[in-house]
Amino acid sequence: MPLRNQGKNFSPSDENNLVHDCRKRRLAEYMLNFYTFLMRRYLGGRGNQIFSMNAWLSFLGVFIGTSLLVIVLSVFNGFQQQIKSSIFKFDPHITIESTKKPGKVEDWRNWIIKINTKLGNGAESVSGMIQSPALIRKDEQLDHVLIRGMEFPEDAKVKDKYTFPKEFPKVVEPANLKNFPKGDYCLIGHELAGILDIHVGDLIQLIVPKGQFTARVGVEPGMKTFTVSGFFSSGNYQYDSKVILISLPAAQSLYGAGDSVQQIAIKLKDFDAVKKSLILLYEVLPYDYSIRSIEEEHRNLFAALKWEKVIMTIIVFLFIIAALVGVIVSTANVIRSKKKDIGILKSIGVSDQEILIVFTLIGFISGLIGTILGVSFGIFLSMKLELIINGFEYVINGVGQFYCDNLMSCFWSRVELMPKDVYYFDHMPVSIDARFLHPLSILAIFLSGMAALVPAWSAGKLQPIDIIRASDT
Amino acid sequence: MSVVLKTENLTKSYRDGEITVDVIHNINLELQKGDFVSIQGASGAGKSTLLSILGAILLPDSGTVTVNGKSLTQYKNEGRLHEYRKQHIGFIFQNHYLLPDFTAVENVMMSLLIRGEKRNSAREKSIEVLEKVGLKERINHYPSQLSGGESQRVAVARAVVHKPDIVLADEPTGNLDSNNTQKFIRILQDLQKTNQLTVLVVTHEAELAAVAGRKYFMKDGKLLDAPH
Repeated sequence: MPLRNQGKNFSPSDENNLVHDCRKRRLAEYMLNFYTFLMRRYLGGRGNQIFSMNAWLSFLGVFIGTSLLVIVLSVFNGFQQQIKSSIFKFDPHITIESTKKPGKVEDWRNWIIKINTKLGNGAESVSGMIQSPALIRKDEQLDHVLIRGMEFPEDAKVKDKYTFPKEFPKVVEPANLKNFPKGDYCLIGHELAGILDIHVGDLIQLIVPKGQFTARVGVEPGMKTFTVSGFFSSGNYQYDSKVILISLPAAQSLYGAGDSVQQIAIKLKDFDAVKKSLILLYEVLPYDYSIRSIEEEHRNLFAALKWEKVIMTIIVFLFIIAALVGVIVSTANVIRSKKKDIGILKSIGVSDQEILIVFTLIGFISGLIGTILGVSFGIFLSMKLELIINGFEYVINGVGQFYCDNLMSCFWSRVELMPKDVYYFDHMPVSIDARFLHPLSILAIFLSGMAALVPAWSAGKLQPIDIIRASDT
Repeated sequence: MSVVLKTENLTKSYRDGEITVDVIHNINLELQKGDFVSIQGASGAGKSTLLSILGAILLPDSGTVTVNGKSLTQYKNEGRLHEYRKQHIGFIFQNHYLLPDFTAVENVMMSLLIRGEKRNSAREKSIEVLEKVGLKERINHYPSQLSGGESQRVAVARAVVHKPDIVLADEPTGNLDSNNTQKFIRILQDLQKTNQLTVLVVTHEAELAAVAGRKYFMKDGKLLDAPH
């Protein structure tokens, strides 16, 4: 007989839909009533407890795994980004040198036009550059440095000054320095300034090899006095403690290079386009020019970065496996402690499947809560990592100093957990990347449920009679 | 009166090394709706095994069990033994077997929730039955906060709240003192009469067996009419 509602007849397909809807609603209600009833208590414990001890242990496994994962990922990410940005900001992506006349590219202005035409929109900048080791003298102090003579864009407003190129290290002193004077002026790394006690406005002397090598006198030295017009910070200790930047005309004059440059430096808009650009450059440049990419210049570093990625992937998997083992163990623990309950529930009519679902959901919820807490804590710790390391350093040095001063009468040598001259950076590089965190969080939650499936399945297979007999004995 | 449960030639044996021990042997039993039946017997006579088979937590080696026309084998073949337990059986064990993490009322509610009852209505019905067994003031207590007698009354409430076809009670007063045994018998009798429940109780307790309408005796796995 067809169903009727306010005089309306329902077709057989409507009836089927209604029955289907009704079943779905009943199933949803059932899940809400029975599963949540059981899960809430098994996760929540008795009375006013939010979570039982067992549940906390479950969360803890996932929590530790995911928070460590976030910290490790953030540090690795930050490390890679910092290396790339500090080098890429400073160094050209591609350099072109003459093999016919080493260290001398004479018709460089023509080549720049040709290269710009060939690379089109892909090039950020194409310019002439002189880069060479030198000695710096400040008063009685002498140190070896690297001079880079680079093209600065002309300042349209101030005639005798340059502005800074788009990708340029931060000028830290004087703050907000907008332009750079033409002539014998230089910018030096802020670490070098600290080492040699140089101040803005000081005069320094740069000593460089000049002209061609001769057997009688070797290389004639060239020397010139420069005024320090500011300090820069690239974030890379090696650069900040060794590099001196001067304008290309000043470098040409210092090295006696006339109008030639040592190399043509190309910066690309997209670093990933290096290989493609190299192919284009091979098409335009003759064989007596060598073309080198930044990857070739820093071959070891890039190989290390690639290895780092492999290691990072392995570490990520290890963390996930550790978290999953945590979920398996804690779910198995819950199941072992609730074995009698499972027997009772099955004896009153709960199916194997329902037991499986309940305990899998417990694992899933443990994963969800553990992951949310773990990721949040991981992000928090990552953001405060430098502070924490400094804190550790402070405590270690404090205790060490106290121990030496009061107990052992020894000399305490200050401990630096992140020595700047060993690592590249002057700060702890941390980068929290949502692109990694989202899929990893989802994966951790999903796998937690899947990990709980194993013990939950064994729980579903428990025979009530065995449990009841075991409880009676 | 309709037949609720029927067993035919029910047999179950265990192997003990080389020896096969018949725990129950060719049991034929028929329960009508509203019957109160008791089975007495010495320890090891096969009483609990019979009850476990009737409650589908153990399967017979041979013979059939039919409840309301549908056989246990059919449920087994469909992989739905839990449905048999859910639809037809209310179980009272010697040890109350309450869920320790749930209060008295929640333990009783569980019987209704697994049958798809909504939470509020399950709670109302559970409280009603708990009142009938004299535990109105103890509904929010955990099993560990209840005495043995009270726990066993909660177990009775859980077994009857969903109005099962048969209530199976396995030595329900085995762990109770005489006072609690008296109370328990009275409660079970009341519930059986008012709800027209079919009850099969296995007991050592002569007092409990005495209230049954039909009495059996088990010896060496065989079901015998109890001597008058």
